[in-house]
Amino acid sequence: MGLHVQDRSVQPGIGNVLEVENLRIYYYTDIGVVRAVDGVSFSIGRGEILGVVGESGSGKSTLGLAIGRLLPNNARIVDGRIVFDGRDITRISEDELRKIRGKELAYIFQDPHRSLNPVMVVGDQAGEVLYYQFNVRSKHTILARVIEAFRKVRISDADKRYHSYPHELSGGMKQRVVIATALIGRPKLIVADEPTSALDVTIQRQLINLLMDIREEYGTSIMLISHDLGVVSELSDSVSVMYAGKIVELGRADAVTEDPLHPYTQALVRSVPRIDEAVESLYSIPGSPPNLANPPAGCRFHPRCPYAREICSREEPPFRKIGDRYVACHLAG
Amino acid sequence: MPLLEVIDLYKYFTIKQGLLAKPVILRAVDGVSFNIEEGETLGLVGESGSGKTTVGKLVLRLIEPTRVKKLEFMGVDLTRIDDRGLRKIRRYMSVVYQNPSSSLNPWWTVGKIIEEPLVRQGYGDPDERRELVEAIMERVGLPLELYNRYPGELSGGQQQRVAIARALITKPKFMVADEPTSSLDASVRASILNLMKELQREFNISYLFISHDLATIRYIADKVAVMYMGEIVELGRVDTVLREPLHPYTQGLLKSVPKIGKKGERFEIKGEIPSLTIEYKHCKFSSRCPFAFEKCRAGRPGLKRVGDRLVACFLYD
Repeated sequence: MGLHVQDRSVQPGIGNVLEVENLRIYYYTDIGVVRAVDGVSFSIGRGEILGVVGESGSGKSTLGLAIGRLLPNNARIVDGRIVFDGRDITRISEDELRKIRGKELAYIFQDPHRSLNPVMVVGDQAGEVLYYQFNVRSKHTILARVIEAFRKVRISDADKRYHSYPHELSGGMKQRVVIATALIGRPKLIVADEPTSALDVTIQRQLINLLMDIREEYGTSIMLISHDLGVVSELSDSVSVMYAGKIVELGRADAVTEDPLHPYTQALVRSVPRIDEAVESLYSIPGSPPNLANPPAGCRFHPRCPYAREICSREEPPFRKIGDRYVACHLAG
Repeated sequence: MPLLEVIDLYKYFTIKQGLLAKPVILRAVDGVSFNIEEGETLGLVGESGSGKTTVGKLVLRLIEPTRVKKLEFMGVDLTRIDDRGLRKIRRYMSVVYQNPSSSLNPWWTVGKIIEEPLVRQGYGDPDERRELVEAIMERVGLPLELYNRYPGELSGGQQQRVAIARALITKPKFMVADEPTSSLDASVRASILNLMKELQREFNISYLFISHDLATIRYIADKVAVMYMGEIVELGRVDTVLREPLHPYTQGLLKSVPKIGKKGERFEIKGEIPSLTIEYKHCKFSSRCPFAFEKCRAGRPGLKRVGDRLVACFLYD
C-alpha cells in the first residue's frame, strides 16, 4: 500500500494513480486574481486513501474539482500537471476526458442533491454509467448490475429502492446511491469532497465503514477532502494539510494528526475539542486567513504563526522532507 | 431551586400531507424532564429528528407545548403566564442560532442589531444604549469600527459574535444556544467556544447548549442529556456519561464519532431512525439496539437513577 509518501510526491512512478505537480489554479474575479491553489504537488498510490484537510478557502475543494477538470468558468489552471493514470488531465481533449469521468474517475460530493436528478428514479441514474460509458444496452443487465451495486453499499430492499425518487430517500440512503453510482464503473480514483459532513453521526460512521470496505474490496484510491480532522484521521493512509492555497504538511495520517510538525497543523489539531479527553481551553489561531488576491509575502501563515521569524515574512519556505514527511516551514526539522 | 425546571414536556405536531390524506401525528418531543441550575451548562445532544431543537424552542415559549407537567423559569410558571408577563420574563432569556447570516437582519447595522433588545425593552436613551452596545462589542471581541457595518460584510465568526453580543446585552440569566458553532471553521469555533465559557463565568449565565457534536458538548457543558426520537435516554455529568456511557445508544453514538489518531474502529449502529409518526409502546431504540431482549419490545423504559445519573434502559433494571 502506497504509504511511502517520500517516494511518491517527487518521483513519478507507475504505482500512482494520480500525480499532481506544481499545480496552480487562479480565479479571475472582480477583486482580482485569487490564487486558490498555488504550487501544489502530491500523489496518490493505487488503493491509497489520501486525506486533504483544511479550513474554508484553503483551496481543497478547488483542488478536487481540478482533477476532473470540473472547475467553474472563471477558474484557470495556470501551471502544473495533473497526471491521472498516465494521462495529463490538463492537456487531453474534452472527448477523452468524458471517457474518463464516471468510468475511471468518480466524484462524491457533500450534498447528494448535487449529484442526483430529482425527477428520475435513482436506479436509472446509476444505470446511466453503464449505458453511456460501457455501452450496455440490455435493460435487464443494467437493472441487475445496479441492484448488485445497491446491495454492495447496503441499501436495504435494493430492488424496490431502484424505483425510488431521490426525495423518497433519507440523506444517508441518497449518499449510498451516489456511492453506488460512483462504484458501478469500477473507478480507479474517487474524489470524495466532504462525503459524510451533512449526515448524522451514526450514519456518518456507517458510510465511513462502507468507504473502508470498498477500498479493501476493490482497491479503489480515494482523495478524501474534509474539514474534519477526525474523519480524515480515521479513513486516510496519508494526509495533506492545506492552508491558503498551499500544502503545508504531507505525511502518514497518524504522524500528521498526532505529532504535527507545521505550526498551522499544530494549531489546527489543538483547536479541535476532543471527546476522549478533558480540555480546559482550546487553542484559537489569532487573526484570520489571508486574502488570496493579495497573499502575504514569504510564508502565508507567518502573520498568524507564534514562531514566525524575520525569514518567514521574506522567503517562501520550501516543501522539505523531514523524516518520513514533507513540511513547508523554515523552522521545522 | 433550579433556574429552569422541566417535567414531562411533550410536543406533537399534526402534519397534513395533501388535501385528502389523514393527518399524522409527529411526536417531536415525547416526555422530557430536566433541570438547569444557575450558571450551569446543560448540553443537549442528539441526531436529526431527536427533538433537541424543539426542546429549545419550547423552554423559550417560542412554541406552545402539547402538554407539560411543569415548566418553571426563575420560579415563574411559564405555562400560566400572560403575554405581558412573558415579555417581562423574556428579558432574562436569550437565544443564539447556528446560522448567524440568517438570524441577523441584513439591512441593519451591527450597532442597531445589538441595540435592538434594549429598544424593545424601552431601556435608557440612545446615548446610554450606545455605551452599552460599545461595551458589549468590546467584550465579545468585535472592533468598534464594525458598529456601522452590515452583517454581510463580516466573517462567519464575527457574525456569531454579533449574535452573542445581542443575546447578552440585556444581561439574561439563560441562553439557548442551538448549534452556535456548527457552521464555523475549527479555529473560529475554538474562539467562540472559549468566549462563551468566559462569558458564562462573568455573567453567571446558564446555557442550554444544543449540538450534534459530542466533543463540543464535552468541552462546554457540565451535564449532558442524550436525546433519541423525542426522549432523553441518558442524563448525567458530562465527564462520566462520555467516559463511561450506560445507554446502548450513547455507547453507539460515542463509538461512531471519528476520532483523531484512532483507526479501525468499525463498530456501527445499524439502520436509521424509524418513523416519528408511529406511537411506540416499546423502547424506541430497540429496533437498532444490539442488546435488545424481549422486555425491550414489550414496554417503554422510563428514566431511572443508575448510580450518579439517569438512564432509560431495561438493561439496568
